[in-house]
Amino acid sequence: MTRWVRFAGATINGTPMPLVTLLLMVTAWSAAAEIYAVTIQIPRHSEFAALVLTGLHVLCSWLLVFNLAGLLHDVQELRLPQYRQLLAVGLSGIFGFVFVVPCAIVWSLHGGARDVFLIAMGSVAGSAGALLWRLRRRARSAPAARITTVGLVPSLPGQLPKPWRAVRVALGPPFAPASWKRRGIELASLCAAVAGAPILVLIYKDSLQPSAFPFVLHAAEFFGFLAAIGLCWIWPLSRLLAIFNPERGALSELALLPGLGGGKQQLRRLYLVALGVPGAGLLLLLTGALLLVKLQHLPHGDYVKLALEFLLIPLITLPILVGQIAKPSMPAASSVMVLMVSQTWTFSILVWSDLWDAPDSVTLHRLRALIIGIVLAALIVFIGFAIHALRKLLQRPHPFVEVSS
Amino acid sequence: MNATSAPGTIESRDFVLICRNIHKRFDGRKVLDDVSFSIAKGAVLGLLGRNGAGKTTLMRILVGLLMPESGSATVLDEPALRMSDAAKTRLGYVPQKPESLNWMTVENMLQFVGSFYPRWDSEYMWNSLMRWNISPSQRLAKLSPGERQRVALIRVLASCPELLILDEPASALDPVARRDFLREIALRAGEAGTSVLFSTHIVSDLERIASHVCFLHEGKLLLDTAMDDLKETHVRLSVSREAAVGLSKPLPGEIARHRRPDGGMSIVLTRKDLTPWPAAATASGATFEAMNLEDLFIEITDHPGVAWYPR
Repeated sequence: MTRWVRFAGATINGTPMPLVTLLLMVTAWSAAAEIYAVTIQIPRHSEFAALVLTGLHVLCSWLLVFNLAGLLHDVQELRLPQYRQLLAVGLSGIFGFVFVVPCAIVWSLHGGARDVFLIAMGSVAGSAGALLWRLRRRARSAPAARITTVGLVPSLPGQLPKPWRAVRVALGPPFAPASWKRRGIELASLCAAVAGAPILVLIYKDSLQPSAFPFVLHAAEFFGFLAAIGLCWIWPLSRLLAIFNPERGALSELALLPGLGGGKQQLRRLYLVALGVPGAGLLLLLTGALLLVKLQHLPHGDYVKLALEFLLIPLITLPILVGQIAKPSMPAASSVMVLMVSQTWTFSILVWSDLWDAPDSVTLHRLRALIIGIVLAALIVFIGFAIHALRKLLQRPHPFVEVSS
Repeated sequence: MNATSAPGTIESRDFVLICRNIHKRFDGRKVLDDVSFSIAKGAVLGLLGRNGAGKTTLMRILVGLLMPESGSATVLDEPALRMSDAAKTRLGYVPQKPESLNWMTVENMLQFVGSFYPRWDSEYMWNSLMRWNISPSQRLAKLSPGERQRVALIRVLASCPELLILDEPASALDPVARRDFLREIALRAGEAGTSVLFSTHIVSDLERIASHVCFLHEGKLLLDTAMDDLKETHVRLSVSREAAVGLSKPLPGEIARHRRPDGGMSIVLTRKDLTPWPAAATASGATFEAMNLEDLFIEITDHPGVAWYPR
């Protein structure tokens, strides 16, 4: 009886946040459902309302399942009587509120089978995400008692790790060795980031105005491209900036680990690993982009433009990166921001402009020459800056030694 | 033997760390100014200094993470900037804010680092984790600063180094953990002969375990002595207002002086090899007073050099 009282007291006197969240969630869901109900009355309506409702439903399912799972866990820890009955009620509640009710509402609003399917998939995604998140949190806060069972068995010092592997481990993700499962998830995330938005645009092509379709598609492709550059190129490079940030003392661990060889060896390994991963990512993206050009039967000139665009990415990013490593002039977070911004302005507009496909004329010819001149001048400045920064880096007796003052 | 004698006067094989005439500037500002000292085998040297005194810079130079403008540092008979793997296995360093490898769990990080050290003590590692109540499955990035510092100390102590360089190791520790840590350091130095250099601005820590002490103030090494000699070689001379009139020039062995509110003067004096104190100090109206480490630190760092003279 005391346990029940304690549980009820905690529920009533506890923080009102869950209640407020629940209220907000129901209101937002109802509003989205209302918009959906109105939208589907319009002939030749777009799928936008259904997508918004599904998106919101994923979030709501996530929140519901996450909090209910937490509550059930607490109930289990309190060792309340009739735990099994409570569990059954909880699971039925989750199933009812997350799956049955939303699908029934959409169905009753005369939504199509496709929309009901979308909502159901949203429920699955949200619930799965919440359960995975819970499991992850539980695994991380594993009891320290593990020390007494596993830990006290003294482990013999193993073989010295291979220097290449050690550098990868020390640099952390995404450089660190990982399981195939993790790599698969990363690749799937990358594919989703690159192709997600354009695929959605292609699926709902019929809902869009014919004149707006190319613009929306190109915008989706651009954002997909930015996300991919962020994941494949900027993220690994930003790790490098964090490692080399002298304020954080992160270098000391790597610099003072024995068995990694001399300064020059470490430098070579470090830069090969640190640039190899983003380089490979960039090549992967280039291959994907070339494939896309081929599939869309775009003109041959687009292959050249694409290659040029991908060549410009490292030519702009690396000088900034090397400069920041040689003499950090701003915090790591700002450097990452600068790197990312540099990618949104990779001469894309100039490369993809119709200027190059237009018929020849004297004015156009001069304009092209001027643009090429400006781009080359900018590149010369960038390369000069990179060489200067590289020379400073090479003066270091050890890759981690800070000589700037 | 004085663990911190002037380098060059004693054979270098007696020392695990020698730094000679180190100078360092940051953006034109002098951070270290001609710093020289050495640490004998088995000695525990406490480097005391106020915030911004240059302790961290000095330690980063000593482990080869920072290049001095001039001067040199020799660690375990090798230049700090070009330490071999053999020397690195004998050296343990804990930075002020250990932040690297923080994407790993405690267990993974310790096992990864441990695989580099031939004398890695796994038993010590696990016992310390249990004693300090640190979950091995916890990600380093999620630990509090104090817990992270504990993990860094476990990492460095489990590698059984011959020389420990610790940059404010106890600053984020709670009193219990600090006591444990200081006991461990004293034990290592006493039983295993581990030499220790640790920086701090907590005087009581230093008094507990240090065999030698250095004061670093505004980049200069103001004091370098054995703890046992401290009370015999340093005194505070309190002079009355009348007697202070005759002391316009610095006395032999004078380190610092300042005027008291009553018009009298406090002068900190030092001597070498128990030579007699200056005659002026024994004049009437003058009294000697032995000083503890904290008093001495405040007197010296608050009034370094003969900075003030009566008109």
